[in-house]
Amino acid sequence: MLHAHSLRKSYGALLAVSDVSFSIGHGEILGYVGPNGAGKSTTVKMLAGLLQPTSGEVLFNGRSIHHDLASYKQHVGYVPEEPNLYPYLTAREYLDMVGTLRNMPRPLRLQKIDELLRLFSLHPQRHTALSSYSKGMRQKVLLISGLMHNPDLIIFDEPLSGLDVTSAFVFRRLVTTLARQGKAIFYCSHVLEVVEKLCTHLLILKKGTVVAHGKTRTVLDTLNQPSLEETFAQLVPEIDAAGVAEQIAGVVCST
Amino acid sequence: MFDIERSFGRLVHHFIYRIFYGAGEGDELQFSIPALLGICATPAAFASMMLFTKYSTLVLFLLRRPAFDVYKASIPDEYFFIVFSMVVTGSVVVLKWDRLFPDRQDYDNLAALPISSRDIFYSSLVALLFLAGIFAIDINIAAMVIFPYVVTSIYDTFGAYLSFFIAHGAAVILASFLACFGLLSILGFTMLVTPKQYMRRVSLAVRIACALGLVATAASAFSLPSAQPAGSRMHAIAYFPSVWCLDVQQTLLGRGAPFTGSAWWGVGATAFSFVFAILIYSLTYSRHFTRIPEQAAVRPGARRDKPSIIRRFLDRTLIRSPFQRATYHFACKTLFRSERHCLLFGAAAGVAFFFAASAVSEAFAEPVRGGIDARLLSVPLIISYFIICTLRTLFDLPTDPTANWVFQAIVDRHRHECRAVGTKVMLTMIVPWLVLLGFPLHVMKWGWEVGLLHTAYVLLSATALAELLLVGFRKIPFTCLYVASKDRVLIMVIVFLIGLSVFGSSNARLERWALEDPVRFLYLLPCFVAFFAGIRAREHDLHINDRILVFEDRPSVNLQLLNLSR
Repeated sequence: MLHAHSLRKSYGALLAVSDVSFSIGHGEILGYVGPNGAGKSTTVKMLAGLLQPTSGEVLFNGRSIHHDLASYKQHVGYVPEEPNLYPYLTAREYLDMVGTLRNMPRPLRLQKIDELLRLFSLHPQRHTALSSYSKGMRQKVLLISGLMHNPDLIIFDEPLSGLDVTSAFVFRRLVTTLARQGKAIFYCSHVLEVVEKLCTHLLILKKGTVVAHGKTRTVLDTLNQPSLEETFAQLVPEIDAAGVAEQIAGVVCST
Repeated sequence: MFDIERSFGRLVHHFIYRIFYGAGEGDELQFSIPALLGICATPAAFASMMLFTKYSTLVLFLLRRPAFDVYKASIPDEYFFIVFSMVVTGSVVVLKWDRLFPDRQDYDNLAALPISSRDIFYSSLVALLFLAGIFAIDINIAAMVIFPYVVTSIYDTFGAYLSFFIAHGAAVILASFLACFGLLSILGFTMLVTPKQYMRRVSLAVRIACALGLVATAASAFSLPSAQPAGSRMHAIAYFPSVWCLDVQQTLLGRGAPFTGSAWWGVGATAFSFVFAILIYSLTYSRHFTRIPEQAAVRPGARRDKPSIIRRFLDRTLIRSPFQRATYHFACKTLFRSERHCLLFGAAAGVAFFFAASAVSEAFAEPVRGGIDARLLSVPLIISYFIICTLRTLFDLPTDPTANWVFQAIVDRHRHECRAVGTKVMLTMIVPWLVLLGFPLHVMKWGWEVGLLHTAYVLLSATALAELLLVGFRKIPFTCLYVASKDRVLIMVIVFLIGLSVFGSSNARLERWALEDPVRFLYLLPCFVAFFAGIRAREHDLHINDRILVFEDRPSVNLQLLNLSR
């Protein structure tokens, strides 16, 4: 379904992403992990069609997404990392606007919005301005806006940010259910435990380049590590976590 | 000034900065404190210096006016400085209103710290009073020094200068305090009595009303001094608070109080508004800030789920494509819900109202014998002109540039209908009042035939202006980050004024010519058709790159470093 081929993106002299390739098929969930500054957000923006790669291309069903970007966007659900929403709109108004822009027929749009708001426990606050929402509530609005048009490909960028335990639990189940129904899911996150449990495939990025890619179990087995956290620490040994933690505790406890 | 190593001083310091910078979220109209103080102080300094010619002894000698009474002649200028002081202070209070009280953000950050609620209250109050004092002095200081010198230079004595300095200083500072505490009282009272679920809307409405009041006060600077009372003291103009301050100045100069009969109106009103504002501030603090933890974070809003009849009608008839529907409703909601846009639009509407009112008053003061008065015809044209030009400017002012990702992620940049949306939003702000208010008035004044023709002509002219201003427009209103080139501002102001003259007065005279013999409209119709066709052709000729939807619009750089050594 989606194939990223030798993606490269540079901002002036800064190379953000270099030679990144991967594929996501129907029903697959690709976990995309890496430390801060590894190029995750840049990749996400290139996949969402917000950024054009310096070289390489993103193919959707065999065609470059920039060949007909508008049509590609109709098939994609994008949930960005930051819940930047128009604060004076209500959740219902915001979702109605998004649905209208996505050409959803009015009855279906309104029915889906109300149903999803109810399922995400936002229905009582549907007429309240988004400025009054907590971060978790805004995140739920983002999730609805990314899913309501039944996309074939879903791009999640830190989707659990701000969600409470129950909502996070529901969300994890939702992701696997959507994958079972044939959606291709790109899942970018720092929460390694969730990525390990949720994703069928894994890609670890370091300083813009791929350091590991494959089926999640295969990557862990190849590196002979019990968990993704250990694998990640082995592949991206940027800091001595234990040493830094000791130093911080020393400063905190000093009198 | 405040010892920031001590908690109270640090709190005061925090509140001063908070009032200036707020939460720092997406406000492009931010100035640093010194820059803002400098900007506010400059106009009074320039105005004072401009008056040198009026009071120059040489000019008076050349004009052969040896018996020139400088004190009497200075009344309009004194009134101007009083009005200036009130309007600037009042504008700051209205614009920064949401930052004057400690809010939930302060609560979240301060309540957990070992600071008493009383300390938070007193420090925020001290910060507010400190800023009120600084502002009152800052905006008037230049005029306080220069203006008395300009007026009393004819006498060449320090005593005359000092007495005028004291009288002028007292009046303008009193005016500043009166505006500040008066508006604080009004807005604080609104906050106190309004139920929380209606707070945002009511507060906005009251702020717009205050902004209109300030525009009316500013407008009075040009007309009120000439309407000095003769005989009876409680003339209608004595109800203007700005006039009370003028009486204070006249009393301190030993010239009585020509408007109200007593300087105590100004002093008493300021003292009362000060006490009332402090009382309201304390009550509001108690009602809102200390009860923040008791209030639910989000209350369900009460509204129906079905869209209104008007919206359904518009969606079926005028705005039929999904892009237009989504962006049109978004633009209208932004205009009325984004406080910044709403206030700027309200202020422009106030200025339009002032221009229209002066045209009407001129027309009634000197009526035209026989025929239709072009000044009356110009009224809806002037209001339409202000609305369209203001909206065109506001379209470039993004509400929250970080939130436009949703449009970027969905919309096809090559197939947008931004021009159509812009035109429809502009006309939406004109058609309701033109049809519901203007049309019946036109019919009452001139009869059905002229009423219909005039309304249609205004609508056609407004559409033409909207289309003209939106040539090459390729932004979803309120979503595009626009960085204005400073060197264009002066040109834009000049063009705006010329446009006002052409679209208002000249256009009204042209319309009167056509109304004298309605067949003449048949000559005008082809002109409009040619105009619209020209605009279509211009749009068609635009390069493909100039038609792509943009979300960031920056001026091209005149000078660029090549960094060849790298």
